[in-house]
This record gives sequence, C-alpha cells and structure tokens, in this order.
Amino acid sequence: MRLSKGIDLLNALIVVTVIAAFTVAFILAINAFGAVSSLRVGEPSVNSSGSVVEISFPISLSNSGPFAVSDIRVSAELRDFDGSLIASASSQPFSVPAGARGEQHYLPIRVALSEIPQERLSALFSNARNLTLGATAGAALAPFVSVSVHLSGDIPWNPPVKDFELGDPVLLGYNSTHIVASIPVRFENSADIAVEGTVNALFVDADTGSEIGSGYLEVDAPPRSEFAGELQFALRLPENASALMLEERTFRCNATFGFRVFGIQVYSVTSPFELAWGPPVGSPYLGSPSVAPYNSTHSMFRLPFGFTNANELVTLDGSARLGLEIGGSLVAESAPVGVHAPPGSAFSGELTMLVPNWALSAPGTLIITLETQFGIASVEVPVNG
Amino acid sequence: MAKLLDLEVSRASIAVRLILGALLGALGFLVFYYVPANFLRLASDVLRMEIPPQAAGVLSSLVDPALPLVGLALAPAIFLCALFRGTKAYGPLTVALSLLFATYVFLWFHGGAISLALSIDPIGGGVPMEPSMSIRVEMAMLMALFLIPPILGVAKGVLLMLEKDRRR
Repeated sequence: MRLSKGIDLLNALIVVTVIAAFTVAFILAINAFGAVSSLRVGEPSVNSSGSVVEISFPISLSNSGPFAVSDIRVSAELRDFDGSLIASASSQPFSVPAGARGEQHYLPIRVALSEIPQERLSALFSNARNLTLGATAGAALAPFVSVSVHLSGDIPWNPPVKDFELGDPVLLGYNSTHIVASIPVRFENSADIAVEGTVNALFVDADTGSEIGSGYLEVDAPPRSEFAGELQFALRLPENASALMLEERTFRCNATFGFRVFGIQVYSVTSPFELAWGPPVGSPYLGSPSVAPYNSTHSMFRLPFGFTNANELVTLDGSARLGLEIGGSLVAESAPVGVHAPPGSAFSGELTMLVPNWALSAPGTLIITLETQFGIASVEVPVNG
Repeated sequence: MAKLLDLEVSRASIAVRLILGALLGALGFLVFYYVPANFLRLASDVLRMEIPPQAAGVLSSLVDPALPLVGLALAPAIFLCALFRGTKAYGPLTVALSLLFATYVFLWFHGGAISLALSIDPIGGGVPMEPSMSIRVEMAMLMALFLIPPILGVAKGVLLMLEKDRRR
C-alpha cells in the first residue's frame, strides 16, 4: 500500500518537474530573447588622463525578467605578432535586475599606455605588423544559464608615424645667445588612430655630444592622413660668438624627435641634422691705403675696406675702427665708422685717422676692429712703414 | 482473456496497449530520433531557405551525434512500456526508459555546456579584422532540472519492481 502511494507520488512529481523544467526553459528563452533584443551599444567615448586611456561603451539594456541578467562583463587583450601582450583591459561586472527598463550602463575599458614597454610602443608607432585582438563578453541568467562569447582575430596594424622626414632647416631669428630656426617635419599617419600630442626635439652637438638646443611641435594627425608642420627650435650659440661674425660654419648635430601622445613618449627617432651659417662679415677686403699731409706733425691715413654679408638672416649693425700699434703702444686711432649690412648685401667704407709723421716710417700693426651685436672682432695687418 | 507475462488482460486491452504503444513509440521516434537526425533539412524547410554552410555547421554542432541513436532506442522502449504496463517487466522497462531519457537529456545539453565555433564575416566600420568567434553556453543547472524527471522515473521503476516482488 505504501509502495503504491510512493509510486503515485513519484508519478505526480514527474509530471510537476516536467512541467516546471519546460516552464523554466520557456521563461529563460523569453527572458534572454527580450534582453538581447533590447541591447543597444552607443558610440564609444575616449578619455585620457595621463597615460591612461579609457574607452567607455554606453549600453542600454532592458530586462523583463523574471531572472536578473547578471555578471555582465567585457574583457579584451591585444597581442603583438609574436604573441606578447601589448595591452589588456576588463570592465567591472554589473547586473541588470528583473523589471529594469532601458537601464543605462557604461562598460569602461582602461588601457595604461605606460605599462607597455617603451621599445614595443616605439615599434608599434613606426612598423607595420599584424596584431591579435581577443575580446570576451559574458552574461548569466543565474542560476540556470551563463553565456560567454570570445572573439579573436588578426588586425593589420599600420604605423601612426610612417615615412618620417625632415626638410631643410630655415633660420628664423637670433639673439646674443641663441639662434632660432625651423625645420619642416612630415610623416604619414597610416593608422586608424589619431596622433594628437607633441613632437619634442633635442639637439646634441655631433662632435661634443653636449646638448645645444631643443624645440617642440604640436601634432594633430587624424587617422589616415599626412602631417606636415614646422618644428621651431633654438640652438645655443658658441661662447665665442664673435667668431660667427667672420667664419662660415655648419652646425652639425644629432636631433632626436620624441612623439608624446597621451602624456607619454611613444616613439622617438634620431636623425643627423645640419644647419649652415654664412658669415655676416664674409670676403672682407682692405683697399690700398693712402697718406696725405695733414699738418707739420701728422698725416691723414685713409684705408678703404669692405665685406659681403653672406648670412641669409642677420643684418649686421655696429661700427668699425682703425688703429695703429707700434711697439705694443697704440699711436693712432680713427673715429668709429657706422656699419649697416642687410643680409646678402655688400658693404664698403673708408677708415681715416691722423697718424704722427714719425710713425709712418716705423714698422707696426694696423688693427681693424668691428664691434657688432656679435661682439668685437679684430683683424691685424702688419705694416713695415 | 490472455496472459501478458504475469498479467491477465483482455484481448481488447492488448489491442489498446498495442495501438497506444505504437502511437507513443511513433511519436517518440518522430520527436526523439527523426527531428534531431534531420535537423538541418527540417530547419531549412521551416525557414523556407537554404541554410548557408557556415550556419549549417553551427546548427549541426548543436545536435550531439549520439543523440539520434539514443532517440532511436527510446522509441521501442516507449512502446514496450506502454505494452507491458502493470506487468513484472514494467518496473525494469521504466528504469531502462528513464535511464535512456536521462542519457538523452545529458546529450541534449551537451553535458551541461555547449561550445560553438563560428567563423563570421569581416567586421565592418572600417576595422579590417577577420574574426573568429566562439560561444560557450553553460547550462548545467538547467540540465539538472531536466534530469529530475528521469531520475524520479528510475526511482519509480525501482518501486514498481519492489511492489512486484512483495506481491509474489
């Protein structure tokens, strides 16, 4: 009797559990279909703070229930062609309770650029290669079903800084300690990401290795565009700047251009670099001197002189003086003659001074002194009376 | 009157049992064997379109290869249960049928988790990526819920056998 009651009870339980199982399966299907069909993913927003880039995906989800859609999460990782990890990110899991309508959530994915090794970052910015993206998304209708989706694939990576080129530098200005110049910078952003940041340039003397200048350039290169800009920089003049007045010179240096994006240096390239300097007092010449009696004790000494300002930038302003030194003593000196020579122009003038007659027959040294914005430079010419 | 194993039944009852068993067995054959064995063709007929090869691969992987075989075994088991209901064979047949159902449920749910590998078209939106996708659905709890009726069926079969033994 008890057994037959037990059998009846089992029959009833079997019916109940079959109905319950199919009911739960049906409700789960409706629940899942409703949630998936209500899913909306908006345009991602990108924010950066320091070297951390946060990509936030707004999603909207409704859940008619009765089960909560829980443990919704997204994670992604990007690997280099050799399988080494470049970046990984994951969102905090969240849930959408039963009955929620159009609930807004944000799936933030944070990438810390500073955690990517510098060499790898630099290679990524300059070399084309294949990257592997793996993304995993998951959700659960607890406690019965959980779903995880894994997406992976190779992405051809085009470098953001391709065919980096420097043009010919142009002198822009100078002061007593520095010259300012600009250099055309060009590269192609062949990537699908924008390059927004700065290019910082550091100039190092090619001979001594000491730092002689720096400059920077704002960069804003949209995806798949060519960027061209002028990088301005200042080069420190040598301590003996007066030599620059007379000497043709080539500043040879190694320039290192560092790209800073999101506050960290992502790529740097070093290139040899030359800047030609033409002497503001180029091809100086002295004409034939002439002497004419002035009075019983002195004669008038005239010396024509001239030069060409071979510098493309500098207008030479100052004065020239003539002196005669005999036995280490200055025996005659002219009044200063004004000098004004715009770039590329020829300048000629005449220096005159009264010379004691006795000095005309004594061996000595004519000293021509130029006093300009570069300082004082002298030319000494021996004379034998 | 006729004897069906240890049970005296009328000829009409035997006829009813045979007809009912054949109907239930045919229904079981249709639902548990024919549908999963011809899943792709039936899906194509219902949708009135040729299933693309990629989707066909995914749909095929939804059906465990052993599922139609177990479904094929269920049809005669259902027939025999209907025929020998109330006899001494009913208890062991109920246990066997329940175990077959349990196996069927286990295979239907792929042991509690199903993994699907999808090859999908390149992603649009300017992203030059040819992705591969895999989906894993964990449904062990749902499977456990569906396993309860067969487990109860096994218990019922055991009780039926005990009841027969006690009557002897």
